[in-house]
Amino acid sequence: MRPLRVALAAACLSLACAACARGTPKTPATDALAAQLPIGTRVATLKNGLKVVLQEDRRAPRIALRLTYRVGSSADPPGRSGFAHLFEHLMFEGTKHVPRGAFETTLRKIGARYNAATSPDETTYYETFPKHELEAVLWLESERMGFFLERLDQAMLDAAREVVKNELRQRRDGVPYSAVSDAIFASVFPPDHPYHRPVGGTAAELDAATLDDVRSFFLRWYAPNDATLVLIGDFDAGAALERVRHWFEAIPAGPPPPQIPRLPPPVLAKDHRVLMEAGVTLPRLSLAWPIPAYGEPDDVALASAATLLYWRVGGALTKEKELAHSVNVTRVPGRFGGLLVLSALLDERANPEQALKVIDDAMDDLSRFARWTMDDKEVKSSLYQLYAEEVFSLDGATARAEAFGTFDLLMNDPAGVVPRLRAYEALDSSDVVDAYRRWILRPPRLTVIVRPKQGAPVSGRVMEES
Amino acid sequence: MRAPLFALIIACASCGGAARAPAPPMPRLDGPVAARATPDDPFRAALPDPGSPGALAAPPIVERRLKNGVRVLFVERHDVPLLSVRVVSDRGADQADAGMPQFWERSVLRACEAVKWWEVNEAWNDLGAEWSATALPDASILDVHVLSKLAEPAVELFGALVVKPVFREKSIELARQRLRAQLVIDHARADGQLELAMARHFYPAGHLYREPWAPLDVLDKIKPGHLEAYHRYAFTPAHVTIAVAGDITEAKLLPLLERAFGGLTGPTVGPQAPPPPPPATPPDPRFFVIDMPDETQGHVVFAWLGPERYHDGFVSLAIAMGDIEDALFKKLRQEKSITYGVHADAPLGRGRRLITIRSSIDTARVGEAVKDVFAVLEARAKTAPGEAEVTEMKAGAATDLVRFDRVDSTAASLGLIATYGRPTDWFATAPARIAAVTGETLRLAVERHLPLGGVRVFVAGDAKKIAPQLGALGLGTVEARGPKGL
Repeated sequence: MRPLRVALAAACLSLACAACARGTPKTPATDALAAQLPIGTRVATLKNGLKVVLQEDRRAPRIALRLTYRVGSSADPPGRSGFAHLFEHLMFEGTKHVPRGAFETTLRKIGARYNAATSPDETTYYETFPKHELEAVLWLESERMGFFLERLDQAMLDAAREVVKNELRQRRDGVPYSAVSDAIFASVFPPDHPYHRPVGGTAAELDAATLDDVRSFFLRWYAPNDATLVLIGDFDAGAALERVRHWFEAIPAGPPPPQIPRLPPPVLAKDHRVLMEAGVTLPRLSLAWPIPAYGEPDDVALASAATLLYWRVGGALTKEKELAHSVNVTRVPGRFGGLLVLSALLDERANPEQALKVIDDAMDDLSRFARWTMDDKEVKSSLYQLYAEEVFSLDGATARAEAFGTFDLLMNDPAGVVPRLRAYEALDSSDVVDAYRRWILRPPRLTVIVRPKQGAPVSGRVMEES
Repeated sequence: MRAPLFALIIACASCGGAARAPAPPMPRLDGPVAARATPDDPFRAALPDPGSPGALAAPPIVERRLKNGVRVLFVERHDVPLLSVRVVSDRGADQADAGMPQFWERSVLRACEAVKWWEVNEAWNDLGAEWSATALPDASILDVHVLSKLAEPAVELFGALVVKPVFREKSIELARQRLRAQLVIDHARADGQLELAMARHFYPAGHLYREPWAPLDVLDKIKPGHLEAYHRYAFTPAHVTIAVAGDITEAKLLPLLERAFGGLTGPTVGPQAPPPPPPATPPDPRFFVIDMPDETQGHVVFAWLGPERYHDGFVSLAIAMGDIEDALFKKLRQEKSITYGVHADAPLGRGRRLITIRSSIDTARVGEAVKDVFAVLEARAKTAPGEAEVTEMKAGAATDLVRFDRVDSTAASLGLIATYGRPTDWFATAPARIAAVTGETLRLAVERHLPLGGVRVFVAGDAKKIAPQLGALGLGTVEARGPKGL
């Protein structure tokens, strides 16, 4: 099998060599690959400010649509956590020309697959549908954007609120450890930070929402000049753009989108610890660090560092010491800041303090290593993975609409995948080492320990902070 | 249970007590905004007419054989520089002892005779490849998804791991630990409790489907030799198909597959494993409540024994399930706001698996929801929908049944042809099968596969609130048990 190993090494070298060209604005590997990527689009901005991104894809007689409003839980009004998410549901209730209940019925009737999602940064509506129903879907989405308030009444608000409360009970209450995530965001981000609040909100604050709140929120945030419409599928781009203009251009622009400051990541002044208990059998441990926002310096380097952290700490906890059943490292880079979380599901016999010691030792090993240089091969491996993941995200019209929309939100460029790939290529080990030292190794961190406790909610509850 | 819930969430939301360095304040984004209105136009008054529908065409599928008899199904496409390779055996978990396939999927593709396990790990990382192993009831599946420029080393590594795998004691031990942890978590969840309850209720002692997960004592006994035997049993040329989709030409692909998988040996003609014996008719009670007093919703599953093997009526059943899901979504979510969603599923399997309708319902209104579900089922079995309704029901079916949108879903669709022994034009002829569905075939599908007499209803939730609601319906006996009673 010698030839296999040689072939593997040779294949990997081609990317590795490209990665050596640090600082070069264009590198051959990405340029060659970019020519093969399905990223050609037609981009237009309507008179009211709505940004439209179109791409023809004739593989199947279907169209994928993604409409993003740049509003998420970070814009929830004070005392109204969960408002942006509640809005996501309200927008399916009905509009001036679409009676209550008919919005989703119509989507199902025309064979559309649809969904919506709210994050701290955005609220997005998705549909994938047969090509001959383009008019119907543009009609529905233009109704949402232009004619929502004309239908709004107390019954609509009450119905959406009850569905959201059902969702929260289903997704949070009976799900082991589900309260941990909210505790992490609330502890890392200070109360006045847009990421402090839980996306889903609280039942009490949902109950407090009034029709006036809904009207104000809609007028502030659901405007064409703060939204992007992506359409990919079996159509002629010029003709499709004309139909978008027909349905959307008369919708008046809203106020100018707010200028969002570039917030530096919050810095914990000292190590912080949260002790939780949950009605589960296995303890769980999470460590969290605030990191820069998407696209900020060090963001790309930290993506690589997160992978290295996963390999090193994951290996130590599961394979070497056998204290954990699984380890995850999650990087959440948003518009207003980011978060890196390392979580370990521990063995029932493992003491969380013992696991923390193993993590610290592994991080210390990495830090000793990092004082000089990280293992080039390890860094490059992490970059190959990140590089490939970006390309995988372009596979299929629905996924590509998602990728274009996300890049547009975060980089103001639907084809942002190419600069992202170039950024990976331009990185070298010292960038990763520096970012690791600056954001993970040196700063204080948050530690969340979940201890099993019979009778406690399986989702978990906070018992103590120090 | 609502007061403690509020306390929990508020506690989480207010635990921002970490000491921090000062950060600049965010600007207020919620100030007053002037009202605005979109001018109305007559064309907005109603749903626009549809355009001309396009014909759904499956891509051309190339079928070849390697010299050792392994079948190759291939779709060439160059829209994105990716390659997906799925190696699928038509022998799956239905032909193995409980637990074995779960171990196999966590242990395979990690080491082989030619490359040590640590080198395999590094090689996968260096290739940036996504790889996975899945044991389904009817198939054992190995997948690799990779940039097409790295196709050659990736497929060669893949082949080495499939043809001569090594199952290490250490990785089996890790798999054992993870499976144990998974069992513990699944048992804590309502979903896990429901799976267990349904399996125990429908399938008699000794039946393969009685254990949705391997019992702990089985987990402890599995050794490398068991997994090697399972792999050899499933991955012989007679049972394997290599499904490939992506950015490569046939001229390059076939020699590559020959090099990578040419060493796969075994009987060229193997006996088809018989389907598992059908379980007995489900016993009473009609309603089974698993008491989970902390649950704030009632998690409900309506379950029936599904038909044996793939059947020609599958398309009608799948469309009927979609229609029932829509009707219940409308009733329970849109009209009553007592659930977040409804999910109906008819499995495409060779054994008699369960057909299910699932929803999480507001605890106080579980009985009312059950009554609604029975009413919808009864109506669907009694009256065939009209032509216009059938046309609407079928609108989305092609999207669900024919999946060639992505490179990886294309390989997966080719894998389905292999798993269920369908002809290669199966997807190309799907639109005709969908067109053949009528109101009467839909009614018959409900009458035959979703009879009210055969349904059993499982609920995980607060039994003292839910059991009386079910009893009051007068639709059958109710039995409540704690999770440990299972």
